[in-house]
Amino acid sequence: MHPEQLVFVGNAREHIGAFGTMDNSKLHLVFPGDQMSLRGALAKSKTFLRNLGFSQDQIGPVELVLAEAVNNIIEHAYSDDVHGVVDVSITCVDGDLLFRIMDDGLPMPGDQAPAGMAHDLNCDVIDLPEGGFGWFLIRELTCDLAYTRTGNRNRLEFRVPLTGRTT
Amino acid sequence: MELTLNDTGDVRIITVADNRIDAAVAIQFKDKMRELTESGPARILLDMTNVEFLDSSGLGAVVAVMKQVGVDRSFELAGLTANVEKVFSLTRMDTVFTIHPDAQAAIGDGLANAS
Repeated sequence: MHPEQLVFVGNAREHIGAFGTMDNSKLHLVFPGDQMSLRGALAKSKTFLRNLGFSQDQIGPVELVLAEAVNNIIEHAYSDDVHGVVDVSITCVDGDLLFRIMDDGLPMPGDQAPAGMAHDLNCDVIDLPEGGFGWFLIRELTCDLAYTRTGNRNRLEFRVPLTGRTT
Repeated sequence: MELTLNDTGDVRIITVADNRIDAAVAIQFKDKMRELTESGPARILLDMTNVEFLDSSGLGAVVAVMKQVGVDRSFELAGLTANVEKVFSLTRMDTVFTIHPDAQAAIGDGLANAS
């Protein structure tokens, strides 16, 4: 079977491999939902973008957004008992970077992506927040973010505007 | 998660040898930092020159360290790379921490002149 035609099945360990199609405009990665596999996927993503000619200034925010989005999947959509697969596509169209991240884990709370409100840091040190920054960062660095769920598949799509562009 | 320690004068400089403080190592980082800051000098400087990537887990761990150190001692940062600085500024955590361009500036300036 051609990898692109695989039926995407959560927990389908037999389909897991770090295959990626790196034509000049699209990267498609499927990897296990664990932290070390995520590091590998991030490294591949950075190489893909470097090869397309993006600068470190442009690549940095992409790595961060991908890390935050997939960390959320690993920690919330999946869990310690449930190991799943993460599917990431990065498409470059007319210099814009479009992302699609899919998983077969639990739905997002309230069936919508968190708003990611900023924290009020005007407090004592002892009360400073240690978490809850992830969605704020995702929202800050992306446009056109959309979460949909079909059957038991979560799909998160967004665009990362490139440096100097405001839309 | 590798951290090296150097006490110089009244400052304990802890250097992060790893190039990532991310979800994979945030807890180990926090635990090792607790060990290294339980005792020792009252001024603690975390040298992050080698850290090329910090995500929200890493940020949370750095905040946790500051809380562990407490208000009777100081906990400052040095050598933030561009990616890391961006996470601090986006979250406005750069207003909460004392951040030096590098370890030398931190030692030279002393606490009072830090920005």
